[in-house]
Amino acid sequence: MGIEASIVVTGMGVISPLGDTTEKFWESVSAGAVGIGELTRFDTSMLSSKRGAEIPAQNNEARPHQDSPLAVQWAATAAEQATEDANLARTEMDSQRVGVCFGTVMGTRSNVDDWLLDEKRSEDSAPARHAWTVPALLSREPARRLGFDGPNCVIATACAAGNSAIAYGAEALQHDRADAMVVGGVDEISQATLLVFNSFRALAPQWVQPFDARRQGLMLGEGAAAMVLEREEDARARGAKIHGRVLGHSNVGDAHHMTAPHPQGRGAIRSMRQALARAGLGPSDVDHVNAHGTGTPANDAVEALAIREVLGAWADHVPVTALKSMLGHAQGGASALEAVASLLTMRDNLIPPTAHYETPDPACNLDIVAGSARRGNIRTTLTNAFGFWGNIECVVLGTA
Amino acid sequence: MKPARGIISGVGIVTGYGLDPSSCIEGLLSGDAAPTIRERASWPDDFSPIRINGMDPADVRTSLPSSQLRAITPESLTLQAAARTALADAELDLEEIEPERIGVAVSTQQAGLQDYAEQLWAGVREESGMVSPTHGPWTGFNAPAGHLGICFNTQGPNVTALNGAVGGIEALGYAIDALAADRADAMLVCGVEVISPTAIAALDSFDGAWRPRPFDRDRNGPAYGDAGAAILLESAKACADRGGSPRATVMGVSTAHSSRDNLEGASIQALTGALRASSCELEGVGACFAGANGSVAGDAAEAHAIGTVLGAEVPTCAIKGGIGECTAAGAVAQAALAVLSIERRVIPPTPGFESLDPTMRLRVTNRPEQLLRNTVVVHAWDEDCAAGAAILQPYHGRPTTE
Repeated sequence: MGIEASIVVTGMGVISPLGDTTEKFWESVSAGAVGIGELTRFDTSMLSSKRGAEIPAQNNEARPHQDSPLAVQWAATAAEQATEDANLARTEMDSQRVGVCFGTVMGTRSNVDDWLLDEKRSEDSAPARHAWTVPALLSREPARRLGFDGPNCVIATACAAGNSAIAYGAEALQHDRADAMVVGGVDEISQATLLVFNSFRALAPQWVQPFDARRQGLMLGEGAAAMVLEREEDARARGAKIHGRVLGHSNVGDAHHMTAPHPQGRGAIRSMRQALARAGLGPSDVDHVNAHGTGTPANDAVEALAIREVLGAWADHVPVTALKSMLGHAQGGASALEAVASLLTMRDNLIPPTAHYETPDPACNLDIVAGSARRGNIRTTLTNAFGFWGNIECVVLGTA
Repeated sequence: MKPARGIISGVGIVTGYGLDPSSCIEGLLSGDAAPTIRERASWPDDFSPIRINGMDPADVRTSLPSSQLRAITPESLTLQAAARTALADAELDLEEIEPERIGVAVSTQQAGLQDYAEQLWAGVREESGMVSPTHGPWTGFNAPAGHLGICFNTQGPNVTALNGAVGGIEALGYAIDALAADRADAMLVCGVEVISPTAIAALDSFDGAWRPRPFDRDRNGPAYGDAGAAILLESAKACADRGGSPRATVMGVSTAHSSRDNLEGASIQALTGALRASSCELEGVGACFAGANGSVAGDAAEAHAIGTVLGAEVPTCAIKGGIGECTAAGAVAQAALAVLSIERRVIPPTPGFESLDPTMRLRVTNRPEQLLRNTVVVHAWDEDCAAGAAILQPYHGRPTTE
């Protein structure tokens, strides 16, 4: 069954290492800017890689609501931006009909880091119960600040979480549980997460090079992106600006391994195919793929195989880009940031490049956009997201 | 729009009462709290321990095949046990269902937290930067759901909802949507919570004996419990095709969150929304499985909401008086017990309840009562003013392949 009601995007908001507004973000991304550098918030002396994509400290200081974890602040700010962009004033809609859903990998757990590492910690200094044991805050706090009382949830499908939140919002609208949904993804870099990826020896030393023959791994990033979703008839009735459409989505479980993708791309293939089928589209309708593209040997090879399998010969005509080359892996925020970028790609018919893509890998036989942004007539974008424990969610986005 | 519904064909519950649903319902019917109360120490420091009600992980292990036990967290252990029980209860052989047609929806809040903290501790304290790569993935909220998917080879939708005590309703709603959209024939809807020792420093300790007293005039706060619960939800056709036995129908669900710190308002919204989604008549409501946990403010808000929407005479029981506040596992446990209540036509008493708070107008069960009407309401809430409700009824009519 496909998406019946037409679901459109009427607002966007971004907090990222490449800009703290949607337009700043897009200006940087479309220019091929890279937000990766030396990590400054943590002691990285014991790590194989000292680099990642941090949101600059001055942007953190500029954030309002400094009494809550960074991820909560960013989710709230991105949601505020998206709501403002959608002109969704506080009193315009029934507050019980506007909901919020963010996807995340680590939730609010970074607050644990500071406390555990504080030699003077005590029960009294333990972060308030809200901060680290209630990941639901990531959606509840934006709802609280915006006055939205509709469906509210946080989805944790690992690195597919941003796309899963988009799907959650689309379903809420499809089933008439809401009239508007603010959806997105968010995560911050935490020291514990760095240690985990360091233990996998999965961190690239210098750059993230998705699909490149010399790729050496990923780098962690952080940030938040939010979108306002509405049913098209409602959006048009109130004269909302439409940025694009959510045409289809598919969540599957790879059921293979806790970290490695199925070697034949079983889950990825099925998710992409189902998302397209639910959008009422076939392979030749895909104009662009915004890849998951982490830069790890395993992920990129399997993803390339899966894209080839799904698109067949048409894959030769489909430009592919991987924004983690610029943004690092923003974990739960990644696919939401990539979704916003995909919408802007279709708005401007401009595909951002994959940074540091230099040496094609025969095992990744795709048309990778490299060097500089590429012009094209992009009406439909397939955006992929794959996570640990086999969580996969692919989304098909369309032009306005 | 055609109402979206799901058939419950199997349930599994792991609580302080035991590893199986019968132990739980029998324990509740006795009126006593679950007996397995033990102190759980905080970590890494010697802060005030808290009393937790729940099964000893060592006992939970005994219920699982040894092949499933390597490098498994307490929450995944508990979830496995509940899920296996639900599948066995439903008499579903996973070999008989296409892997792509069965999925998992899990509610949790603390899954992975202890591993996260221990990884950080080991990596920084030991200054090597190296932590065990086999333990790293267990830091994810989605680890229990993902692990379940791998063990059972469920290749359908796999999602983890983080919505506190309302997460189970969220997971149920996700599963219903998946069935209605033909994305799956069956969904394991689960909730799991094992209180992390690291979190203990941040949790309120409960003074005195472990005795939560939901709705009681002398209640003085919640007490914590570990729990796991699972429901096998199927489409009517899928259940009939495999010769399954429908146990109950989920008629509708709804969730809400108040942006204005109005828990009562959120509860009213959720209850009203669920009834509307279910198209069930208010007059048919025979019981309410409430989320009350002994919280002074929370129980009061819930009581007022139930009274407003369902009326003051609907028999209401609160299982957290027996199993403790198990946050993200609570709603699925409530729903599973509602199924057993429907089948046995009995509403359990509320452990710990003696005298109703005089500010409430509610009929709280203090002994087993007969279930006289078919519709059972499950209501869940948490302190962040989120609420959710599910409407259950006995399965009516013969299963059909159409």
